[in-house]
Amino acid sequence: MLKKSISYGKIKEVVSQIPDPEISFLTIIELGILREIECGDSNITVVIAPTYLACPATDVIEENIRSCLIELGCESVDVIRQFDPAWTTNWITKEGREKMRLYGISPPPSVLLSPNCRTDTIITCPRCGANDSECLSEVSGTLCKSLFRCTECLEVFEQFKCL
Amino acid sequence: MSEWCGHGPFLEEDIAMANTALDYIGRARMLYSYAASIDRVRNRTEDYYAYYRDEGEFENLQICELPIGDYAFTMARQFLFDSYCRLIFGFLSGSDDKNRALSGIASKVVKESAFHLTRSSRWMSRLGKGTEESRERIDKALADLWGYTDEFFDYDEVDREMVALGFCMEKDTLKDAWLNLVRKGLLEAELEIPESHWAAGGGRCGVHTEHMGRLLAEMQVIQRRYPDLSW
Repeated sequence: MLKKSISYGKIKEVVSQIPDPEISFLTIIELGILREIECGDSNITVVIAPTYLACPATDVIEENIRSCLIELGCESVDVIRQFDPAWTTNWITKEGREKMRLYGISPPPSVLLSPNCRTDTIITCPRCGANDSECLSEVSGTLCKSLFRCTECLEVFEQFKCL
Repeated sequence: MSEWCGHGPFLEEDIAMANTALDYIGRARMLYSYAASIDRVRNRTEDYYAYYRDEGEFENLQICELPIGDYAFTMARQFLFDSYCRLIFGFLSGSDDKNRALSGIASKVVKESAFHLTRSSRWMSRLGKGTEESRERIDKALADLWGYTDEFFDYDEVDREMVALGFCMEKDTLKDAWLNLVRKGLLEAELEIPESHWAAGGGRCGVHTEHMGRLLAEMQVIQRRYPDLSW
Protein backbone atom coordinates (compact mmCIF):
# COMPACT_ATOMS: atom_id res chain seq x y z
CA MET A 1 0.00 0.00 0.00
CA LEU A 2 1.02 3.56 -0.60
CA LYS A 3 1.70 5.46 2.52
CA LYS A 4 -0.76 8.35 2.68
CA SER A 5 2.06 10.73 3.43
CA ILE A 6 3.67 10.37 0.00
CA SER A 7 2.10 12.82 -2.38
CA TYR A 8 2.14 12.58 -6.17
CA GLY A 9 4.13 15.79 -6.20
CA LYS A 10 6.83 14.29 -4.05
CA ILE A 11 7.01 11.14 -6.16
CA LYS A 12 7.26 13.19 -9.32
CA GLU A 13 9.94 15.39 -7.81
CA VAL A 14 12.09 12.41 -6.82
CA VAL A 15 11.72 10.58 -10.14
CA SER A 16 12.31 13.74 -12.16
CA GLN A 17 15.68 14.31 -10.53
CA ILE A 18 17.11 10.92 -11.50
CA PRO A 19 20.09 11.54 -13.79
CA ASP A 20 20.95 9.63 -16.93
CA PRO A 21 23.84 7.36 -15.92
CA GLU A 22 25.85 8.07 -19.06
CA ILE A 23 25.15 11.79 -19.39
CA SER A 24 24.95 12.50 -15.70
CA PHE A 25 24.34 16.25 -15.93
CA LEU A 26 20.96 15.56 -17.57
CA THR A 27 17.91 14.24 -15.78
CA ILE A 28 15.60 11.68 -17.34
CA ILE A 29 12.96 14.38 -17.66
CA GLU A 30 15.32 16.70 -19.54
CA LEU A 31 16.16 13.86 -21.90
CA GLY A 32 12.48 13.11 -22.47
CA ILE A 33 12.89 9.53 -21.25
CA LEU A 34 10.34 9.89 -18.44
CA ARG A 35 6.88 9.69 -20.01
CA GLU A 36 4.34 9.10 -17.28
CA ILE A 37 3.88 8.43 -13.58
CA GLU A 38 0.70 6.75 -12.45
CA CYS A 39 -0.15 6.32 -8.80
CA GLY A 40 -2.59 3.51 -8.18
CA ASP A 41 -3.99 2.43 -4.84
CA SER A 42 -1.31 -0.10 -4.21
CA ASN A 43 1.44 0.63 -6.65
CA ILE A 44 3.18 3.19 -8.79
CA THR A 45 3.72 2.73 -12.50
CA VAL A 46 6.46 4.70 -14.19
CA VAL A 47 6.61 4.70 -17.99
CA ILE A 48 9.94 5.37 -19.65
CA ALA A 49 10.88 5.55 -23.33
CA PRO A 50 14.35 4.10 -23.99
CA THR A 51 16.50 6.20 -26.30
CA TYR A 52 18.04 3.25 -28.15
CA LEU A 53 16.97 -0.39 -27.92
CA ALA A 54 20.41 -1.42 -26.75
CA CYS A 55 21.16 1.56 -24.54
CA PRO A 56 22.81 0.05 -21.43
CA ALA A 57 21.63 3.05 -19.41
CA THR A 58 18.01 1.89 -19.60
CA ASP A 59 18.52 -0.96 -17.12
CA VAL A 60 20.29 1.37 -14.72
CA ILE A 61 17.57 4.02 -15.01
CA GLU A 62 14.91 1.40 -14.31
CA GLU A 63 16.74 0.22 -11.24
CA ASN A 64 17.31 3.78 -10.01
CA ILE A 65 13.63 4.68 -10.35
CA ARG A 66 12.70 1.58 -8.40
CA SER A 67 15.20 2.10 -5.61
CA CYS A 68 14.46 5.83 -5.28
CA LEU A 69 10.74 5.22 -4.87
CA ILE A 70 11.23 2.33 -2.49
CA GLU A 71 13.51 4.51 -0.41
CA LEU A 72 10.73 7.09 -0.39
CA GLY A 73 8.42 4.49 1.12
CA CYS A 74 6.59 3.12 -1.90
CA GLU A 75 6.20 -0.63 -1.72
CA SER A 76 5.34 -1.67 -5.22
CA VAL A 77 6.90 0.00 -8.23
CA ASP A 78 6.44 -1.03 -11.88
CA VAL A 79 8.65 0.43 -14.55
CA ILE A 80 7.30 -0.02 -18.06
CA ARG A 81 9.28 0.55 -21.25
CA GLN A 82 7.37 2.29 -23.99
CA PHE A 83 8.62 1.82 -27.55
CA ASP A 84 5.68 3.23 -29.39
CA PRO A 85 5.64 6.11 -30.02
CA ALA A 86 9.40 5.80 -30.26
CA TRP A 87 11.57 8.18 -28.31
CA THR A 88 12.75 11.12 -30.35
CA THR A 89 15.33 13.82 -29.69
CA ASN A 90 12.42 16.26 -30.01
CA TRP A 91 11.46 15.24 -26.50
CA ILE A 92 14.68 16.65 -25.08
CA THR A 93 13.71 19.82 -23.25
CA LYS A 94 15.06 23.30 -23.89
CA GLU A 95 16.92 23.18 -20.57
CA GLY A 96 18.39 19.82 -21.56
CA ARG A 97 19.71 21.24 -24.83
CA GLU A 98 21.20 24.26 -23.07
CA LYS A 99 22.94 22.04 -20.53
CA MET A 100 24.38 19.90 -23.33
CA ARG A 101 25.90 22.97 -24.95
CA LEU A 102 27.40 24.07 -21.64
CA TYR A 103 28.96 20.67 -21.15
CA GLY A 104 30.45 20.60 -24.63
CA ILE A 105 27.95 18.42 -26.44
CA SER A 106 26.31 19.86 -29.54
CA PRO A 107 22.54 19.35 -28.98
CA PRO A 108 20.34 17.83 -31.69
CA PRO A 109 18.29 20.22 -33.83
CA SER A 110 14.89 20.78 -32.29
CA VAL A 111 12.91 20.22 -35.45
CA LEU A 112 12.02 16.73 -36.54
CA LEU A 113 14.05 15.69 -39.54
CA SER A 114 13.52 12.61 -41.59
CA PRO A 115 16.51 10.27 -41.21
CA ASN A 116 17.62 11.00 -44.76
CA CYS A 117 18.14 14.71 -44.41
CA ARG A 118 20.16 14.29 -41.25
CA THR A 119 23.44 14.71 -43.05
CA ASP A 120 22.43 18.17 -44.25
CA THR A 121 21.84 19.38 -40.72
CA ILE A 122 24.03 22.24 -39.59
CA ILE A 123 26.05 21.18 -36.58
CA THR A 124 27.12 24.00 -34.32
CA CYS A 125 30.37 23.75 -32.38
CA PRO A 126 29.47 23.94 -28.67
CA ARG A 127 32.74 25.75 -27.92
CA CYS A 128 33.11 28.50 -30.50
CA GLY A 129 29.66 28.47 -32.11
CA ALA A 130 30.95 27.98 -35.66
CA ASN A 131 28.71 26.07 -38.06
CA ASP A 132 31.50 24.39 -39.95
CA SER A 133 32.53 20.93 -38.87
CA GLU A 134 33.48 17.53 -40.17
CA CYS A 135 32.14 14.20 -39.00
CA LEU A 136 34.89 11.99 -37.58
CA SER A 137 32.67 9.09 -36.63
CA GLU A 138 28.97 8.32 -36.90
CA VAL A 139 28.97 6.78 -33.44
CA SER A 140 30.95 8.20 -30.57
CA GLY A 141 31.40 7.00 -26.99
CA THR A 142 27.71 6.13 -26.73
CA LEU A 143 25.12 5.11 -29.31
CA CYS A 144 23.33 8.43 -29.08
CA LYS A 145 26.27 10.65 -30.05
CA SER A 146 28.48 11.24 -33.10
CA LEU A 147 31.99 12.65 -33.11
CA PHE A 148 32.76 15.88 -34.95
CA ARG A 149 35.67 18.26 -35.34
CA CYS A 150 35.08 21.98 -35.65
CA THR A 151 36.93 23.27 -38.72
CA GLU A 152 37.08 26.72 -37.12
CA CYS A 153 38.56 26.13 -33.65
CA LEU A 154 39.72 22.56 -34.45
CA GLU A 155 38.24 21.20 -31.22
CA VAL A 156 36.78 17.72 -31.32
CA PHE A 157 33.28 17.53 -29.87
CA GLU A 158 30.39 15.13 -29.50
CA GLN A 159 27.05 15.76 -31.15
CA PHE A 160 23.82 14.28 -29.85
CA LYS A 161 22.34 12.55 -32.89
CA CYS A 162 18.95 13.61 -34.18
CA LEU A 163 16.63 10.65 -33.86
CA MET B 1 30.68 -7.17 -35.77
CA SER B 2 31.66 -7.36 -32.12
CA GLU B 3 34.77 -9.23 -33.25
CA TRP B 4 36.12 -5.91 -34.54
CA CYS B 5 36.17 -4.53 -31.00
CA GLY B 6 39.81 -3.73 -30.31
CA HIS B 7 40.77 -4.45 -33.94
CA GLY B 8 39.09 -1.61 -35.84
CA PRO B 9 41.14 0.41 -38.35
CA PHE B 10 41.24 3.41 -36.01
CA LEU B 11 39.95 4.26 -32.56
CA GLU B 12 36.79 6.17 -33.51
CA GLU B 13 35.76 3.49 -35.94
CA ASP B 14 36.47 0.78 -33.42
CA ILE B 15 34.04 2.44 -30.99
CA ALA B 16 31.46 3.06 -33.71
CA MET B 17 31.53 -0.57 -34.79
CA ALA B 18 31.19 -1.93 -31.26
CA ASN B 19 28.29 0.44 -30.61
CA THR B 20 26.56 -0.57 -33.81
CA ALA B 21 26.95 -4.21 -32.80
CA LEU B 22 25.30 -3.27 -29.51
CA ASP B 23 22.33 -1.94 -31.46
CA TYR B 24 21.91 -5.34 -33.06
CA ILE B 25 22.05 -7.07 -29.68
CA GLY B 26 19.36 -4.73 -28.38
CA ARG B 27 17.24 -5.48 -31.41
CA ALA B 28 17.65 -9.24 -31.01
CA ARG B 29 16.71 -9.03 -27.34
CA MET B 30 13.51 -7.15 -28.12
CA LEU B 31 12.50 -9.54 -30.87
CA TYR B 32 13.34 -12.63 -28.82
CA SER B 33 11.41 -11.27 -25.83
CA TYR B 34 8.47 -10.67 -28.11
CA ALA B 35 8.79 -14.22 -29.47
CA ALA B 36 8.84 -15.57 -25.92
CA SER B 37 5.65 -13.68 -25.10
CA ILE B 38 3.73 -15.42 -27.90
CA ASP B 39 5.48 -18.82 -27.81
CA ARG B 40 3.12 -21.77 -27.30
CA VAL B 41 5.64 -23.14 -24.83
CA ARG B 42 5.19 -21.04 -21.73
CA ASN B 43 7.86 -19.47 -19.57
CA ARG B 44 10.46 -19.22 -22.28
CA THR B 45 12.65 -16.15 -22.15
CA GLU B 46 14.79 -14.35 -24.71
CA ASP B 47 17.74 -16.48 -23.56
CA TYR B 48 16.11 -19.67 -24.77
CA TYR B 49 16.22 -18.53 -28.39
CA ALA B 50 19.81 -17.35 -28.19
CA TYR B 51 21.40 -20.09 -26.11
CA TYR B 52 19.36 -23.27 -26.27
CA ARG B 53 18.46 -23.68 -29.91
CA ASP B 54 20.59 -25.87 -32.13
CA GLU B 55 21.88 -24.88 -35.53
CA GLY B 56 18.96 -26.34 -37.48
CA GLU B 57 16.50 -24.33 -35.39
CA PHE B 58 18.04 -21.00 -36.39
CA GLU B 59 16.28 -19.56 -39.41
CA ASN B 60 18.59 -16.63 -40.00
CA LEU B 61 19.90 -15.45 -43.34
CA GLN B 62 23.24 -16.97 -44.23
CA ILE B 63 24.74 -13.58 -45.01
CA CYS B 64 24.60 -12.82 -41.27
CA GLU B 65 26.67 -15.82 -40.21
CA LEU B 66 29.66 -15.30 -42.52
CA PRO B 67 33.01 -14.48 -40.91
CA ILE B 68 33.79 -10.77 -40.68
CA GLY B 69 36.48 -10.85 -43.41
CA ASP B 70 38.34 -7.59 -43.97
CA TYR B 71 36.82 -4.19 -43.26
CA ALA B 72 35.51 -3.88 -46.81
CA PHE B 73 33.69 -7.19 -46.45
CA THR B 74 32.15 -6.22 -43.10
CA MET B 75 31.04 -2.83 -44.42
CA ALA B 76 29.68 -4.16 -47.71
CA ARG B 77 27.64 -6.70 -45.77
CA GLN B 78 26.35 -3.97 -43.45
CA PHE B 79 25.44 -1.82 -46.40
CA LEU B 80 23.46 -4.58 -48.14
CA PHE B 81 21.82 -5.71 -44.91
CA ASP B 82 21.08 -2.18 -43.59
CA SER B 83 19.28 -1.38 -46.84
CA TYR B 84 17.16 -4.49 -46.36
CA CYS B 85 16.42 -3.74 -42.68
CA ARG B 86 15.52 -0.15 -43.44
CA LEU B 87 12.83 -1.39 -45.82
CA ILE B 88 11.31 -4.31 -43.95
CA PHE B 89 11.23 -2.61 -40.55
CA GLY B 90 10.01 0.59 -42.16
CA PHE B 91 7.05 -1.24 -43.59
CA LEU B 92 6.43 -3.19 -40.41
CA SER B 93 6.49 -0.04 -38.27
CA GLY B 94 3.53 1.29 -40.24
CA SER B 95 1.47 -1.86 -39.84
CA ASP B 96 -0.93 -2.32 -37.02
CA ASP B 97 -0.52 -5.64 -35.25
CA LYS B 98 -2.15 -6.53 -31.95
CA ASN B 99 -1.29 -3.86 -29.36
CA ARG B 100 1.36 -2.69 -31.81
CA ALA B 101 3.73 -5.12 -30.11
CA LEU B 102 5.79 -5.89 -33.20
CA SER B 103 5.25 -2.65 -35.09
CA GLY B 104 6.26 -0.75 -31.95
CA ILE B 105 9.63 -2.50 -31.88
CA ALA B 106 9.94 -1.94 -35.63
CA SER B 107 9.40 1.79 -35.19
CA LYS B 108 12.52 1.90 -32.99
CA VAL B 109 14.52 -0.40 -35.24
CA VAL B 110 13.81 1.56 -38.41
CA LYS B 111 15.30 4.72 -36.93
CA GLU B 112 18.45 2.90 -35.92
CA SER B 113 18.67 1.18 -39.30
CA ALA B 114 18.60 4.58 -41.00
CA PHE B 115 21.68 5.56 -38.99
CA HIS B 116 23.41 2.31 -39.77
CA LEU B 117 22.72 2.78 -43.47
CA THR B 118 24.13 6.31 -43.44
CA ARG B 119 27.27 4.99 -41.83
CA SER B 120 27.74 1.97 -44.08
CA SER B 121 26.97 4.06 -47.20
CA ARG B 122 29.70 6.50 -46.22
CA TRP B 123 32.11 3.62 -45.91
CA MET B 124 31.11 2.31 -49.32
CA SER B 125 32.01 5.72 -50.78
CA ARG B 126 35.17 5.95 -48.77
CA LEU B 127 36.39 2.58 -49.99
CA GLY B 128 35.00 2.91 -53.52
CA LYS B 129 36.65 6.28 -54.08
CA GLY B 130 39.69 5.58 -51.95
CA THR B 131 42.86 3.93 -53.15
CA GLU B 132 43.39 1.26 -55.74
CA GLU B 133 43.60 -1.33 -53.00
CA SER B 134 40.44 -0.19 -51.20
CA ARG B 135 38.58 -0.23 -54.49
CA GLU B 136 39.81 -3.71 -55.26
CA ARG B 137 38.76 -4.96 -51.83
CA ILE B 138 35.28 -3.43 -51.89
CA ASP B 139 34.68 -4.79 -55.39
CA LYS B 140 35.70 -8.23 -54.25
CA ALA B 141 33.54 -7.99 -51.11
CA LEU B 142 30.48 -7.06 -53.14
CA ALA B 143 31.12 -9.88 -55.59
CA ASP B 144 31.55 -12.41 -52.78
CA LEU B 145 28.41 -11.22 -50.97
CA TRP B 146 26.00 -10.64 -53.81
CA GLY B 147 24.85 -14.25 -54.11
CA TYR B 148 23.76 -14.21 -50.49
CA THR B 149 21.38 -11.27 -50.98
CA ASP B 150 18.97 -13.53 -52.84
CA GLU B 151 17.92 -14.89 -49.47
CA PHE B 152 16.40 -11.51 -48.53
CA PHE B 153 13.60 -12.38 -50.92
CA ASP B 154 13.26 -16.01 -49.97
CA TYR B 155 9.71 -15.93 -48.58
CA ASP B 156 8.34 -18.83 -46.58
CA GLU B 157 4.80 -19.57 -45.50
CA VAL B 158 4.95 -17.20 -42.53
CA ASP B 159 6.19 -14.38 -44.75
CA ARG B 160 3.38 -14.99 -47.20
CA GLU B 161 0.88 -14.85 -44.37
CA MET B 162 2.47 -11.62 -43.18
CA VAL B 163 2.04 -10.19 -46.68
CA ALA B 164 -1.61 -11.25 -46.70
CA LEU B 165 -2.14 -9.52 -43.35
CA GLY B 166 -0.44 -6.36 -44.58
CA PHE B 167 2.60 -6.60 -42.28
CA CYS B 168 5.13 -7.29 -44.98
CA MET B 169 5.83 -6.10 -48.50
CA GLU B 170 5.26 -8.34 -51.50
CA LYS B 171 8.44 -10.10 -52.52
CA ASP B 172 8.82 -8.23 -55.81
CA THR B 173 8.05 -4.86 -54.25
CA LEU B 174 10.71 -5.46 -51.62
CA LYS B 175 13.25 -6.56 -54.20
CA ASP B 176 12.65 -3.51 -56.41
CA ALA B 177 12.84 -1.13 -53.46
CA TRP B 178 15.99 -2.80 -52.18
CA LEU B 179 17.69 -2.71 -55.57
CA ASN B 180 16.85 0.98 -55.89
CA LEU B 181 18.28 1.77 -52.49
CA VAL B 182 21.44 -0.25 -53.12
CA ARG B 183 21.91 1.19 -56.63
CA LYS B 184 21.69 4.70 -55.22
CA GLY B 185 24.35 3.96 -52.60
CA LEU B 186 26.63 2.24 -55.10
CA LEU B 187 26.27 5.05 -57.62
CA GLU B 188 27.34 7.52 -54.95
CA ALA B 189 30.32 5.27 -54.16
CA GLU B 190 31.15 4.90 -57.87
CA LEU B 191 30.69 1.15 -57.54
CA GLU B 192 28.72 -1.28 -59.63
CA ILE B 193 26.40 -4.16 -58.93
CA PRO B 194 28.53 -7.26 -59.48
CA GLU B 195 27.65 -10.02 -61.85
CA SER B 196 26.69 -13.04 -59.87
CA HIS B 197 25.82 -16.48 -61.10
CA TRP B 198 24.83 -18.25 -57.94
CA ALA B 199 22.40 -17.69 -55.10
CA ALA B 200 22.46 -18.82 -51.50
CA GLY B 201 19.39 -20.45 -50.06
CA GLY B 202 18.18 -22.50 -47.15
CA GLY B 203 18.98 -20.26 -44.20
CA ARG B 204 15.31 -19.66 -43.60
CA CYS B 205 14.75 -23.45 -43.28
CA GLY B 206 17.66 -24.02 -40.93
CA VAL B 207 20.32 -24.88 -43.51
CA HIS B 208 23.53 -23.04 -42.76
CA THR B 209 27.09 -22.48 -43.89
CA GLU B 210 29.95 -24.19 -42.10
CA HIS B 211 30.57 -21.00 -40.12
CA MET B 212 27.33 -21.19 -38.17
CA GLY B 213 28.30 -24.04 -35.87
CA ARG B 214 31.44 -22.32 -34.71
CA LEU B 215 29.58 -19.07 -34.02
CA LEU B 216 26.95 -20.85 -31.97
CA ALA B 217 29.52 -22.88 -30.05
CA GLU B 218 31.23 -19.71 -28.92
CA MET B 219 28.00 -17.96 -28.05
CA GLN B 220 26.30 -20.86 -26.28
CA VAL B 221 29.06 -22.76 -24.49
CA ILE B 222 28.97 -20.90 -21.17
CA GLN B 223 25.18 -20.95 -20.81
CA ARG B 224 25.05 -24.65 -21.66
CA ARG B 225 27.89 -25.51 -19.33
CA TYR B 226 26.39 -23.44 -16.49
CA PRO B 227 22.65 -23.19 -17.21
CA ASP B 228 20.97 -19.94 -16.09
CA LEU B 229 24.29 -18.46 -15.16
CA SER B 230 24.25 -14.70 -14.78
CA TRP B 231 26.65 -11.98 -13.75
